[in-house]
This record gives sequence, structure tokens and C-alpha cells, in this order.
Amino acid sequence: MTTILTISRDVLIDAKRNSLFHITLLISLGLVFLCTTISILDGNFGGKIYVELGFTLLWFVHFLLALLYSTECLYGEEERKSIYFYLSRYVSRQEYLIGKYVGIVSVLATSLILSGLIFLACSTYLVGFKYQILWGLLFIFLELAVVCSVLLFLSRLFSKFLSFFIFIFIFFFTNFLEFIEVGNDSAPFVKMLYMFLPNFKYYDFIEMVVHAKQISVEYTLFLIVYSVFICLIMTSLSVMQYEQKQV
Amino acid sequence: MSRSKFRIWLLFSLLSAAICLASVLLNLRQTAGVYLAKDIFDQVREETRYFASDLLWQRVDTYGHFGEWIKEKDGNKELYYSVFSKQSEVRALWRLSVGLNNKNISRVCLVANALGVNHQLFDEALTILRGAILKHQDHKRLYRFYGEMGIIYFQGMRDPIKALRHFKRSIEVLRRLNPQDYLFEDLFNIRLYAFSASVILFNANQIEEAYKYHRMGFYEPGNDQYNAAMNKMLYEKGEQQLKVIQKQRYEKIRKKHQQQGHTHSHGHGHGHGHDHHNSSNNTDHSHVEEKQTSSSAADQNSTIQTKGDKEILRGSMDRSEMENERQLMRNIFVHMIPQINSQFYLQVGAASTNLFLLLSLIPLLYLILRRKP
Repeated sequence: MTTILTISRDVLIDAKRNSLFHITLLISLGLVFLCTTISILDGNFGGKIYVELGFTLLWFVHFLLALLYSTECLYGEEERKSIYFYLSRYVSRQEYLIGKYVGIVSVLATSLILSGLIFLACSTYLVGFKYQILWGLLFIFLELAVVCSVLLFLSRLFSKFLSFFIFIFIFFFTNFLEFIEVGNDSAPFVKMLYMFLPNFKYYDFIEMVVHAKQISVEYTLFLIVYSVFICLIMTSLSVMQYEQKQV
Repeated sequence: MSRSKFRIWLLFSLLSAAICLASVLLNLRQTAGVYLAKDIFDQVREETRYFASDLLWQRVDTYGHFGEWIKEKDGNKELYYSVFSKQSEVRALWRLSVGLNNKNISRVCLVANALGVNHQLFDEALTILRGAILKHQDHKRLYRFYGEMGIIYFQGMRDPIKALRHFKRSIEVLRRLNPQDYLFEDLFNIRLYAFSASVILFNANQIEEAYKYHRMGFYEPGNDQYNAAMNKMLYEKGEQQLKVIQKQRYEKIRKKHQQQGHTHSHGHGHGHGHDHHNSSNNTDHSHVEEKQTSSSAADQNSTIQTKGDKEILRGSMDRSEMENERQLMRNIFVHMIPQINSQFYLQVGAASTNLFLLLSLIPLLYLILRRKP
């Protein structure tokens, strides 16, 4: 456990020196402020449209950060050969991977909390306090955790570019699955098969955050459990794969 | 990544981009018949505008139905109302969407109607319609613009003289449209405009003229006095058989329309006067009239009909099915839980949560119990 925490702390320290993290954080904050300014100047972008726009930007920037930072962090160490620093010090591959994963998720959480608090302050100033935004930030965090876990797994199988494109494919594929229909006979089989694949359609929460009368406890519980399940599945598969791999 | 690998990727990306661009250009040449670079640029710009307009329009439905909520308590029931006329945010989306593309007649008419009748922004509504008339003079469904102007004058501004002028103009330009090409939306709107014109004429005591429009409006009933006068004219002219045929024709097209899956009774042909209403205990989602207007009277028939169909459907449900539907409606209207294709993935719910919780134990145990190398 201590090893995992040490590795994750190293990732956090590394993020402080990483320009990608700083730039993304600045872009995120800049977009929130820009969105707020536009909303103040133009009434058309006020009210719930502001919340939706701001929230979408927050999600998008952090989604990109998760994609880029995860790939950078997971492949960078192998390219720089600094991975041997850990592996030669009685650190198991499982600990290394989990430590990396926890570190990346912590970096994303830091950025999300900073941007989220600024967004919450701006939205409170413009449209009053909306507790839904806090729930929305939790939902974004859960989605980012799943994104990182999927990338962690893909990084153990494919090269950097291939992982990136395969992830993009999975993301869009699961979002557009609703338009596909299968025969009733094969539906249970398909459902079993897809149960272990991440479905990003579950994270379609922006409408709930913006419009819903109440945030559903049922949905929140489901999303937490589902995210934990996918993260565990992906992490254990990554560990399994990494044990077999020659570094 | 090595330099040579990077070059290969760059070459591959450039090649893909070139192929995509070439296919877009070829497609544009074939479909739109544009060859000059300027024309291609214009076409691309127009298509982008339409795309952005469609994208914004998708949001309109959500903002229109899930705007400002009003909560009321009725005994142990919680009732939620979404008041259509108070959705100030949706106005911005309407303006942007219609501003980017005013070619879509149904959308322009809906926006103008909602702005004029529900939001009482008469000048803006009329400007949108006038702009669309000027831009699409040759459109075969031009009658809709004039008809909506009439509705705004009649229901919004309470100016029957101007309203009648526009209704008459609407019926005039309706001749451009071949009756064979009538869609249900056309029949519905013709009925609405003709009925409104008929009511105005009836109020002005021009019964003969009013009957003419009453006939065009598929014999739509109004108040008792109006009905008595119109029935008298009907018997005088001996057109009872014609009335039955016209009603049957209307019903036939309406049923065909419903069978095609257009069950949203107020659709977006005419959503005015309706507010969204939802109860948390009893989630039979119905519509509450904000004010009774002649258009909503015409609309009501189809709403009642749809409700009737729904009630028949509900009568055939057992208790668990009804519970499920109630939960589904609550998830949609109160919580807005995302809809998942249940053929591929488990629906959001307590059962799925428990299942995933149980399944989580497998990887968790693997990670905890596996031996250290």
C-alpha cells in the first residue's frame, strides 16, 4: 500500500512539473471565465444555457486531459526507461500499475476540483447556488476514472497511437450503440458480452445536472458501483497482461 | 516516438485527410452541382450552418419541456409542472437555430408561434415570419407563414381584422400545394387556420362566409352558438355526406401519421398553450392548458384521442408493468436518467447496481489475493 501511495505521489509531483497539466488547467479556467463573461454580456447565454455550456467545457477539457496525460504518463516512463527505477526496487508490476493509475486519477481530480470550484463560484454569482453542479463534478470524476482505467488496459496491449484511436473508437461506439438493434434471440448473449465492456452512455449526465428536478440517488449509486466495477476489471486485466509482458 | 515513425504517421494522416477532402468535393459536385471554389465554399458554409442549426434544435426539445419547474402538493402526491411560457432559456436556442436556418418551415412556425402566443413577443415573432416570407417566396408551403401570422394576430394580439387578412392570404397561397401532397401536418394546420378564420367571420356575423371556412376546416366544432349556426348551414346546403367523408379523410391521415410513430400528439406542429406536467406519484404525464384558445381546442381532439389510446393500452397492463412504466416516466421527467439500449447494456436500476457490486468482487479478490512475484 505504501509503495502504491509513493508511486502515486511521484505522479502528482511529476504533474506539477508537466506543462501539459498546467496548460490544460489554464485552458479550463480560461474557458470557464470566458463562458461567464459571455453570459454576463449576452443574455442569450444566461441561465441554464450557461450551466450546460460551462459544464460541457469542463467535461471536454478534462476528458482531453485524461486522454493526453494518461498516454503521456503511461508510455513516457517506458520511453524514458525510468520505469526501471521502480521495477528494480522490489516494486511489483501490480503495485507499479495501480500506483500509476491512482496518481493519474489524483492529478485529474486536482484539476477538476480547482476548475469545478471556480465554475461553481461563477455559476453561483450568475444563476444562484445549484447543488446539482457538485453532483455533476462527481459524475465527471467517475467518468475520468473509467477513461484512465480503459487507457491503462489498452496501454498494456497496444502502442501509444493505437491505444489512443482504439479508445476513441470505444468511446463513440458505446455512445452510438443505442441506434443498433439485434434480434431477440441473440440479445441476452450480446448483453452478457457487453457487460464487461465500458459503456460511456451511462455517463450522459449533463442533462440531469442542468434540467433534472432531483438528482437520482439510484443513478448516483449505480454510476459509482459501475465505475468501480469497470475500473477494477480494467486494472486487474492490465495487471494480468503486464505480468506476462517482457519490459 | 522515433523520427521515422513520426513521418510515417504524418504521411498516413495527410493521405487520409486528402482522401476525405477529395470525396467531400466530389460529393458536393455531384449532389449540389457546384464546381467553382467560391461556390463550394458557399455550399460548405451553408451546410455547416444547417448542421449547427439542427444541433441547436435538438436542445430545443429538452429546454422546452424541462424548463422552470413548479412543485405543488396535492395530498400525498407531488405534482411537477414545467411551464412552457416561462422557459426563457429556450428563446435563445430558438433564435440561434432559426437564425442559422429559416428554411425549415415547421421550425420557423413553431418558434414564431411560441414567441408570439406563449411569450407575448409579438414584434419578434412577426419579424421572423416576415423575414421567412421574403426569403422563401416560392416555397410550396408558404401558407404556413401567413397562417401563423394570422394565429399571432388572432390569439396573441387579439386583432381579428389583421388575423382574418392573413388567414385568407394563407388559404389563397395554399393552392400552390397539390392536395395529393398533403401531410398530416398540413391538414392539421389548414384545419386550424380555416377554423380560426371561420370563428372570426362568425363573430362578425358573416355566417355564409364563416361556413365556407368551416367546411375547409374539416367541420371543426366550436362553441354551442357557433355549432348551431354551422349545423344549420350544413343542413340547408345538404352537405351531411360531405362532412362524413371529410372527417373520415382527416381521421385516415391522422391514424396513418400515428402508425408511423408520431405519437407526440401536440408534436411540434402546434405546441402552444400547453404546459408540461408531471406527477411524481402518479406519472401519467398529461398536459395542462395554460389558457384555452381556439387552436388548443382544435389540438385537444388529437390529444384526447392519443390519451384514449394510451388508456386502452394501460388497461391491458398488469400491476408490475404499470409500476415499471411509472418508474420509467419518473426517471425520464423528474431525474432525466439517460436511456440505455437495453439490448446491449443493463438499465440503470437497483438490480443492475447489485449485480455490478457482486461482479466487482471478482477483480477485487484477484487483486488482493494474487501472490506477489
